[in-house]
Parts: sequence; C-alpha cells; structure tokens
Amino acid sequence: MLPKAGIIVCMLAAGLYPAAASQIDRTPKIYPDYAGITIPPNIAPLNFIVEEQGSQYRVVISGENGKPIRIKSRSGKVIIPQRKWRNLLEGNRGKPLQIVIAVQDKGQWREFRPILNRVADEPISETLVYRLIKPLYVYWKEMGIYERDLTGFDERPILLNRTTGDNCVNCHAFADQRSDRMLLHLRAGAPGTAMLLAEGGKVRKIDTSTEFNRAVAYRDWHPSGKWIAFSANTVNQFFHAVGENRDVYDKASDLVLYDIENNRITGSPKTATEMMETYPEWSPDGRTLYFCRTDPLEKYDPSEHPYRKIKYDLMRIACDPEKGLWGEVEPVFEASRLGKSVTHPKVSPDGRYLLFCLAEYGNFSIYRPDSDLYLLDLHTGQVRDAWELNSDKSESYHCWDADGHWVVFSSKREDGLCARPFFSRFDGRGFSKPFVLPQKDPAIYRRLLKTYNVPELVSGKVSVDRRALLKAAWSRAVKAKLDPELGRRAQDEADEMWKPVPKP
Amino acid sequence: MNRKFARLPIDLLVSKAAAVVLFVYFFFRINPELIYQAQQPVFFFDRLFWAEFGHQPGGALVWLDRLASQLYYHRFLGSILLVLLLTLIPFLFHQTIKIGLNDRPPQNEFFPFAWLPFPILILLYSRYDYALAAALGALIALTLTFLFIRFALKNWVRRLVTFTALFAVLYWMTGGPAFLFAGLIALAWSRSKPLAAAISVATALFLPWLGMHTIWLIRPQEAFTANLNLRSTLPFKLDAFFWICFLVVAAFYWLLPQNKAKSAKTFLTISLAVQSSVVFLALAAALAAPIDTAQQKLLQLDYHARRGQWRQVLETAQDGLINTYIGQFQANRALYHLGRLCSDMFTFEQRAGIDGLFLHESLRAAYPLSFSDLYFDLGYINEAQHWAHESLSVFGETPWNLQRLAEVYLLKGETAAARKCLDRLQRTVWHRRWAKQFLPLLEKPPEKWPDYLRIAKQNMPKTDFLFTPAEPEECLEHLLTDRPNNRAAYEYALAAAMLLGKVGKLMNLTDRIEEFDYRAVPRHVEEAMLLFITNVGQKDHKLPSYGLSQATLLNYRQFLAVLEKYKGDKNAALPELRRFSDTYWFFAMYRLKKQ
Repeated sequence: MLPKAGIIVCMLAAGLYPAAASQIDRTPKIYPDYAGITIPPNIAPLNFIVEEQGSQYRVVISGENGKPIRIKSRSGKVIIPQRKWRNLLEGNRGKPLQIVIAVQDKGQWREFRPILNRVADEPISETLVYRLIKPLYVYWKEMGIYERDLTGFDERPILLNRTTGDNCVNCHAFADQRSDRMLLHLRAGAPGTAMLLAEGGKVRKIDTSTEFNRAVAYRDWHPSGKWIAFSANTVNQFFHAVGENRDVYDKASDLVLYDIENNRITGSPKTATEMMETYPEWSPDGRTLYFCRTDPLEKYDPSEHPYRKIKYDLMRIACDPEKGLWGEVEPVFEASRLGKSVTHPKVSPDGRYLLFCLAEYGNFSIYRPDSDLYLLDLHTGQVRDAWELNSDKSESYHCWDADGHWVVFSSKREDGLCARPFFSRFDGRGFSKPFVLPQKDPAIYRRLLKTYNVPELVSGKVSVDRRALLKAAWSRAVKAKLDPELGRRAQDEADEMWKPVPKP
Repeated sequence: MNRKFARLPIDLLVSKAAAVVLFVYFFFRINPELIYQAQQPVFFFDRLFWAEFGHQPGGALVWLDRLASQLYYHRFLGSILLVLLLTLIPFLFHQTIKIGLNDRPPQNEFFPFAWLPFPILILLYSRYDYALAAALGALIALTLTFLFIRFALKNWVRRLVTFTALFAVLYWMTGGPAFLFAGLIALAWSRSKPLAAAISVATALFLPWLGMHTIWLIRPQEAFTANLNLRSTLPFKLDAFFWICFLVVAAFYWLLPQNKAKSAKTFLTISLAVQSSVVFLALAAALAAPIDTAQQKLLQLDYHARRGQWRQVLETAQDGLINTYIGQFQANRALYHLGRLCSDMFTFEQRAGIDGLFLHESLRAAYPLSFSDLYFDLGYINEAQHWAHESLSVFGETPWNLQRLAEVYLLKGETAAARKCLDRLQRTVWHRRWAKQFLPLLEKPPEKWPDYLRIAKQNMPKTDFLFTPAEPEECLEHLLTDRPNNRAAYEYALAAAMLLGKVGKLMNLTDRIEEFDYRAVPRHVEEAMLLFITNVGQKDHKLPSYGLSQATLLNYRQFLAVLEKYKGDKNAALPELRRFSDTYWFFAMYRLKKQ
C-alpha cells in the first residue's frame, strides 16, 4: 500500500488537494473501467472520465516511485500527460499504481477511496492491428485495416477500402507477429478476390482459389514462415426474429496449406474431408495443426434448418509440412458432447495453453452473445472457463502477445453492438481483469459506431510498405497452383453473403 | 451599339433581380429539401467526425461540404446557399480576370464570358446528387487566386515561394480545386514570367505526387481529382467542363488581341455584346433546361414517406410512380397508415404484386431505411434493425438511420446501443432536440413511451423464427401467431393473401376479423370473401356479425352479370369490366396470373 498521507501532503503543498474533503467510502465510477486492473508498463495513458457529479475534479496518479501525476479537470475528463505517465509506469514495474480522485460538488470536496491498479513487469507487444468497420449485416461500404501504437495514441491506416474500389479487406495476419510479414484478403470489388502476401520487402497478389477450393479465408502462418494453413469456407448468413438477429453457418469448409515458396495449394486428405474443418492454428513448434471440425450438413434433416445442431469440436493432427507427412486426426476437446461448439483456437507461445471460444452452436462467435473464452491446459487436458475475461455479451477473436503474458480479445460487453479490444495479463494461473484499449479521448467508445475486428498483436510498427500493398491490390493476381494429390472438388457457386453496396 | 448597352445583361445578372430569379428557381423548381433527401449529408460537431477526413487531400472541403449541405434541410436556407454560391463564383472569376489576366493596358473592365460558369453551375446543381464540394472548392480557389494576384509580392522568388505554400495548403484543404488556383496563376504569369508559370505548373503537379507517396494512402486518380466531382454519368461531361471552362475563358481573354486603334473600339463593343448575349442565352437555357423529373418525384415520395405525410405519398405515387416497385410499396404503406389498405389497395393496378407490398429484392439496398420502416410498422423489430444497419452502411450515420437505430435498441432493451445513437444525434445540426427528447425514454417503462413505440413493443415477436429474404411475407404468419393482436401484420397478411391469390388463407384470417376494431369488413376483403364463397362455398368459415355491405354485393352481382353476358369470356368482357378495375375481382381475373 502506498503512503497515502505522504501523497496528501504533496498534494496540499501543490495546492491540488482540497483541505477539507469529506471521505467517501467507495471507489469512484470511472469510464472506461480502469479500476483493479493490471497494465503493461509500456501501455498508453489510460485516459478516463470521472462519472461522479461535480464541478471540479482533481486526480492524483502515483506509485511507490517517481513523481505523482496531478490533473485538474472541470468536465471530469482526465487526460494524462504521456511523458509523465511513461516515467511513472517505468519506475513502478511490478508495483501498484494508485489513482486518488476528489470531486467538488456544490462547493464541497469529496474524496473517494483510491483506485488500485498494478503495473506488470512484462511489456505488451507495441502494435495492435485491426479492421475498423460498421456493424456488418449484408452490405458494406467503408472499412479499413489500421495499426495502433499501444504505447501512444497514433492510429495509422494500413489499407483503406476507399482506395481499393470499396471492396472488402479482411483476415489480416502476421507471421509470428513479425511486422514485416503480413497477409490480408481482398474480396469482391474491382481488384477481385485475392490474397495480398507481403514478405521479403515485396507484396504479391495471389488468387488462392483452385479446382479444389474456393478463395481461402481463416488462416494461420506456420512458425517457419514457409506455409500458411487456411480454411476455405462457403459461408451463409441468416437472420433471427428475436435477440441477436445476425447468424452465420458454413455450408462447406476444408483446410488447405499454402506453400509460399512454390505458390501452391496443398494439404492432407485427412483435413479436407467431407466433414467441415475450419480455423487452423499451428502449435509453436509447427508440428501440430489444431483446427475445429463438425459434421457435414448432409447429416441433418433437410426439412429444418440445422444451425442449432452444428457444433464444432477441437481437433489436431501431427504433421511435418516440409516432408509432407501427416499423422492422424485426433480430438482434443469434444465440445459437441457437452452441447457446445469451439471456435478460434489460439495456442500460447510456450505451447502450454490453448485459448478458444465456446458457444452454444456454430462457428461465428462474434455474432453469438453466449460466446465466451475458455482455456485449455494442453499438458493436463483440463478446460476451464476464463471467467475473468467473460461477460454476458460476445467474447470472440483473441490473440496472445509474443511472450504469452498478455492477451487481446474482442468483446461486445459495452453495448452488445460494437466489439472493442480488451487486454488482460496471463500469469500461468489466470487472467487479470481486462481493460479496453486506451484512447486519447476516453469518450470515443460511446460515440464510435464501428467495430474493432480481428485484433492482432504485432511486435513493432508494421513495416510492410503500405503503398506497395495498394499497388499490389490493383495488380494482376497470380493464380496459385494446386497440388494434384488434393484432387479436384466441385465448387459451390453460392453467392457471397456479404456484399458491397450496389453502385447506383 | 455602345459598351453600356453591351454590359446590360451582365448588370442584370448581378442585380438583385437575377438573385431573386435564381432563388425562385431553386426554391420552387428544384427544392433543396429534395437535395437533402437525395444526399442525406452526414455531419457531426465533434472531433471524431473531423478525424474521418484526415486520410485524404481535400478532407477539409468534404467536411465543409457536409456542414454547408445541412442548409438543404430547409428549403429557404438551401435556396439562399445556392444563390450565394452560384453568383459569387462567376463574380469572383470576373474580378480575377479583371485584375490578373489584364496586366496589359486596360482594354476594358468587363469580361462577359467570366459568367459562363454560372449556367453550368445551375445545370449541375439542378441535379439532386451533385455535391456542394465542387462549388465550395471553386469558390475557395477563386478567392485565393484573386487575393494572391491582388496583393502580389514584387519579388518573384518570394512570390513563387508564397505560391508553393498557398498551393500546398489549398491542396491539403480542397484537393482538386487547388489546380484551378494553380492554372489561373500560371496563366496570369505566362506572359510576363513564363518560367515562373512553368514552375507553378510543375509545383502543382509535384506536390500531389509527393503527398501520394508520403502522407496519404491514395491512388493517383484520387490525388489529382479529389473533390472535382467528376462523374461519368453526367450529360456532356458537364462536371469536367465546369473546371475546364474557367481555364478556357481565362485563356480566351489572355489571347484576345490588343488593338488600341479607334476602329478597335467598335469591334470591342460588338464583341462584348456578342459575349453577353451568349452568356445570357446560356443562362436562359440552363434555367429552362429539363430536370430529371422522375428522380424528383422519387425523392418527393421518399420525402413524404419519411415524414409520415401519407396523403402526399399517395398523391406523389399516383403522379407517374404507381407502376414502379417503390411507388407501389410506398402507396401501400400510405394506405395502411390511412387505414385503407384492404379497402383501397386495388384502386391502382398492383402490378408489382407481393413485391409492391414488401419491396422487390433488387431495390432493398437502394431503399434500406424504407424497408426498415415497413418492418417497424409490422413490429418485426429485428428486421427493422437489420435494414437500418444496411442503411447505415449505404448512407452512413444519417440522422434518420440513427433515429431508427435508437428506437430499435430501446425496444430491444439494449439501452447502451440506443444511448450511443442518441449521443451521435445530439451532435447533429437539426436532430439534437429529437435526441434530447428521446433520451429520457431509456429510463422509462414502456407504458410511458409514445404510442408508436408502445405498439411496436406490443407487436414484437416473442419466439424466434428465421427470416426468408426471398419470401418476406412468410414472416406475417409468425408475427400473428406470436402476437395475435398485431393489427399491422394482420392487414398485411390480408393484403398479401389477396395479392398472392390465396383466398383460402384470407378466409382463415377473416375468421378473426372481429378481434380487431373494424366497423365493417374492408371492401377488398369482402370482395375476396364473395369470390371464395361463390367458388368454394362458405364451408366452416363464419361471416362477421356486421355482415357484408349491400354495395359490395350489388357490385358483385353486376360484375357477374357482365361476365355472364360474355359467357365467361373474360377477354371479351374486359372493356366492360374495366369499370370494376378497382375491385379484387378484376385483379384476380386479369392481373393475378400475369405476375
């Protein structure tokens, strides 16, 4: 605990502290909720709004070391100076951080019980990459992939669809969180459906559709950087009359491997079966491929919609892509037996844990309010509800940072409509209380009608040439070759479920 | 002809009378409220909105466009705005030519062709979708050109440096219109300092290229045409001609031969008279040019429907739109709101069939909020939400989209999302009061909500079902099963049954008619019941206690008599049966199979 009396003396000396403040025996309400959290020592200032009635606000942020930060505000909006914040956090790694708030209302000062946070020892990856898009139903217009400096507030577009013929840009991914190896997909619109692959200072546009698969979608880069595991999905959207109205199911899906060097789609017949496989995820040693799998739709009674019965299990297969060797598919967590469905498996960098989403059915967790995060200990096989992270709204896409100390995940807890990136520290036993991505204007989430989609942590500023991406988007796509061993498969001619706004 | 006479038309143009004519033109013929309806310009007083424009050159001009376009919301203010903009541009251009391109001994002070952009602007802004950015950009560029020439520095190096700085700022603020500034300045300098003119052109080309490779993530097309409003669909490439016109006119005066001889004065006078006449004729032609009346009517229809002016919706629909999908859709909605759907819907042809009730699938993306309106009427709030979000994607965060979403999220009990929409609305120009009045509802129980919201809440389905986009009418059965007192769903179900020729289904529905507060069976329902009873018999269906009207029975007898007269030959009977064209029998006989 901090020597509070000492802080008060400092505050009195600085004329910041109200001499005759009455004490309120509760912590003040602040927005966003930055109380009782653990934060990385390199995170941007956690600006917030004091949500207590008052005409003046005084805030002191302090730790055991360094100068306390004192802030006055008339609106309740607390904007923390970046340099002072950085120094304070740096000086208090592994130590508590205290926020004392006093509010003047009707001439009387009231001081609340301090908010206690903790500064972790471990920094978080410096960059977060996400797609910003309005809540999507069928038609889209504006969207973009952005990077955000987590140590400050700079947000920079990587690719805006305004410059690529209003098409869809999505599914960005980085090899081993490296900022110079990136891929993303372009769908529909003038540049056509293709993948942009940036590596070695070059960007290539690749048409990944073959006689075996539609254009690929969900992805994970092999740790060696030589292959990318993809799923190719035929997605269908439908609408409910009650509750969350959007829902999605796959009509078909398979896993394939993209061999970067040879520009070739390959894979194993064991992961491209009549069953539906999706969401591939490599183990950190690159020897195991995790994925989700469910029965084909043909299994269900065609007279009724099967969406509630579609439940994905977590599977894995041992493999050595270098030698083209594949083991046998084996179940890891058979969620369907519990009447649940697994999506988005993500293995921790040390290979010990696997964080995934669990919902009642289906594979589109962002549309499922019941989707929660669960943690699987791969050593013991124990699965537990990551309750520290979950809310009554959807928790979905997530990502470990490079060292495995931090996770970022999408949550709609605020309003059920727009997903926001939340961070939490993982110490091997459990997660700390999550906090939302800090913003320069802390009120922004109350106004921003856009959703943060697919948050990906990256080590450092994205160094892929953005203009090269743009140029490549308008270039001619190179067709991926198909490994003859995969054979051919009749392609579903289904219409795309998400569409650009029709031009008048 | 003397010079005084020659400049008369231009004097007239800039006179108050011309401004009044222009005002009358825009106020009565164009109606800026319809421009607002077409463009639905989104604008918020906050940094978040401003930040949206930072990723492109000319973002500030787009922001200004959105702000100024708010004036279209009121017919009077919108007309004033257009009058001011459209007269200031040629006026400034004229003054610029006067001081900038006339650096030789004064030959005259009057340049009629400087007013040529005026008729072009009138033509462009007679189109409902033409953005203000072009006119605003031209105005800013011309103002800067005028000031730059008027207060020119004597030292050419400083002049060039100042030009470069001003161009950079102007390009950052306006995008493409900055080239107008550069072009006019280069022309002004070309005689006395051709090297400076060449440098200015090179600078104007280099800076956008540099910006494209350093600051902005844009393509060359965007770097060099931002905010020029160049659209391939305009007739005679008017949009491009608008910009070229400035340079052509400026070059014309620059190239005009100098002659100080006495005889030249006569030539000048004639020349001015001809120029003035050309401008005057062009102006008259622009004012008299036909406008896109089909688009105007569609916008009027949308305008009235948005405001719930149902009688005007019917009038507008019947004025040439009744055989369009959207016309029938809105007319049917209007009839429903006027309580006449099932008694008057066949007063027009209902050519679109069920698509006139639920809007054809191909048009839903063009009218997403109208489609949302329909579901809101029906109490199918999830679909109202769905289409309001589609509208959000198509048209952006317009006040109407935000209002609908606030209503939807209130009804669904998702107050945080509703609050978010209201927060946005409170930052708009015209809808902040609505938001302030709506906000307290988030804390109130449904009993204290306005009637339209209470009814919508009562009609919301309780049990889930899946929406079928190809057969939207299927939702009606679900809605009625869940909420038997949903009057909107009931009337739409009756109408749908008639349009689909499912009279048996209609008879099932009429068994419940007394549960609703009808004073009599709606006429078309009576007609359909008679048709059913005549063909199949009454079966287990009971007739309502208030019976069928004598007028309908008499009418039906007459209809059958005519048919009998022609021995059931409906083609032969058609001319005589046309007097029954506002009945369901006529629709069932002549229209139903054609769908």
